[in-house]
Amino acid sequence: MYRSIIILLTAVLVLPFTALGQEADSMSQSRKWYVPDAAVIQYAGNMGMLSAGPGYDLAKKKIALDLLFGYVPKFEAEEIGRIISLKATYKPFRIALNEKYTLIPVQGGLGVSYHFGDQFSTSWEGPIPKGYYWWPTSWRVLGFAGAAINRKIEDSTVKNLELYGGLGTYDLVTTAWYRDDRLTLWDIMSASAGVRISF
Amino acid sequence: MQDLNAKNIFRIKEAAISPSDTLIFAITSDTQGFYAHNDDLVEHINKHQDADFVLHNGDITDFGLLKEHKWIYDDFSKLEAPYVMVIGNHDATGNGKDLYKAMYGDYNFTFVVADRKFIFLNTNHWEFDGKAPDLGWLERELQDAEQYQNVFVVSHIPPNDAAFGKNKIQPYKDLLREYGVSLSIHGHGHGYAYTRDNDEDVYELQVASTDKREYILMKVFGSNIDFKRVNF
Repeated sequence: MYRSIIILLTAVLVLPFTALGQEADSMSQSRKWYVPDAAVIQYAGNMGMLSAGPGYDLAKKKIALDLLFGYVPKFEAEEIGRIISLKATYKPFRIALNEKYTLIPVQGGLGVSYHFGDQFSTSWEGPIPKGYYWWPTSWRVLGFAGAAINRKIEDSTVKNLELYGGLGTYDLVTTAWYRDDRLTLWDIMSASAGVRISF
Repeated sequence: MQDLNAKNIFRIKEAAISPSDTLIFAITSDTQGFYAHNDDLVEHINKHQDADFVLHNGDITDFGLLKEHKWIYDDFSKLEAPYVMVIGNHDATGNGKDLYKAMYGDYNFTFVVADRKFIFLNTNHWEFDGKAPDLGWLERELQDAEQYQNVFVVSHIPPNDAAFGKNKIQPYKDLLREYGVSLSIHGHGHGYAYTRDNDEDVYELQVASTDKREYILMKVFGSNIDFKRVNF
C-alpha cells in the first residue's frame, strides 16, 4: 500500500516537468489541479524523521497544502515507520527583503497523519471494549508554527525556493501537558525544518 | 536508556543483600501522565525510605510514546534505589511494545535477591492478542519455588479482571496457590486493594496510581511479609 503510494507520488512529482515541456507558453493557466505547485522535503515535525511529497498553493499562496510521506528509521523497532501526513500552513503576510528574498515572519497550521503498521489501530478491534482507549493509535492531529524565507529564481524550472522551520506538537502529548502541572510547553514541542521547491 | 531492568537488577544483586537481613522495597504503579506526582513520589522515597529497590507495576505511560518514557525516566533515574518496571496495557499500545522492549527488556523476567524470587509477568491479555499471560512460562519459573523463602509474582492487570483473559484467571490462581507464592502484586485499578477469594488463595495486592499520592512499603524478614501504605 505505502509503496504503491510512493510510486504514484513520484509520478505526480514528475508531472510539472512534463507539463512544462508541452505547455511552456501558457503553463500557469493550463496547469491541471492535480499537478503540484511544489515539492517538499521536511526533517522531523512528528511526520517521520524525513518526509517528502507534493505541495499545492491555495488562496493566492496564503495557504500551502502539503502531502508528505514520512519515514522513521528502524532504531530498536521491529520495522521502519511509515507515515502519511496532510498539512495546511497559513502564511498571513510576506515582507520583501529585496528583489530575490521574501520573509514570512510568522506561519502556522494544522495537519493530520496516518501511521501504517499492524501495531497501529483506528478502531481497537477485538476484545477491547469500546471507549477503553479514547484515541486511535493510527491517526494523529498535528499543530505547528514557525517562519520561512523565500528566494525567487529567474528563468528556471524551479521558480522559488523556500526554507522553513518551526516548532510543532501533537494531540497526545498536548493532552498530557494539559493534564499535568509539571510539563511545560517546551516539553511537548519539537523542532522541524524543511525545503519547499516551487515549479 | 536501554535495558534498564537488567541494569537495575544488576545493581540490586551487586548490593549482595543477605537473606537474614530485612528486605525492604517500595512499590508504585500507574505513573501515566502524573509527572508532578511522580516528582514527589521519587523525592519522598529518596528522603524517607531506606529501600533496597522500587518496583513499578506498569502503565508507565499513557500512550506508549517515547516522549512519555523520557519524561518518566527523568523522574525515576533520580531514585537512589534501583527500580524495576513491568509492562502495563497502556505501555503496549502503538509503538509501545517495541519501546518497552528496547528501554526495559523482556516482558516476562525474573530475578532473585536475598533468597527471594521475583517473577514479572506480562498480564496484558488483550494487547498481546490473548497470548498473555504466558502461564506455561510462569509454571516453569515456579518449579524452583520451594528453594526460596518467598516468591512474589508482579504484574500489571490483576486477576478478576476480564483484561487478564477470562480463561487465564482460575489457572493463574491455582498455580500461585499450588506453588505457595507469597503475594500477587498488581496495578491497573488506580486504587489500593488487598483481597483474596477464599482462605486457600494467595493474596492479591493492588497498588494505587501515583496521583492517589500513595505507595506501598514492603518489609520482608524470614518468611514474614509486612507492608504499609505510605502517603506522600
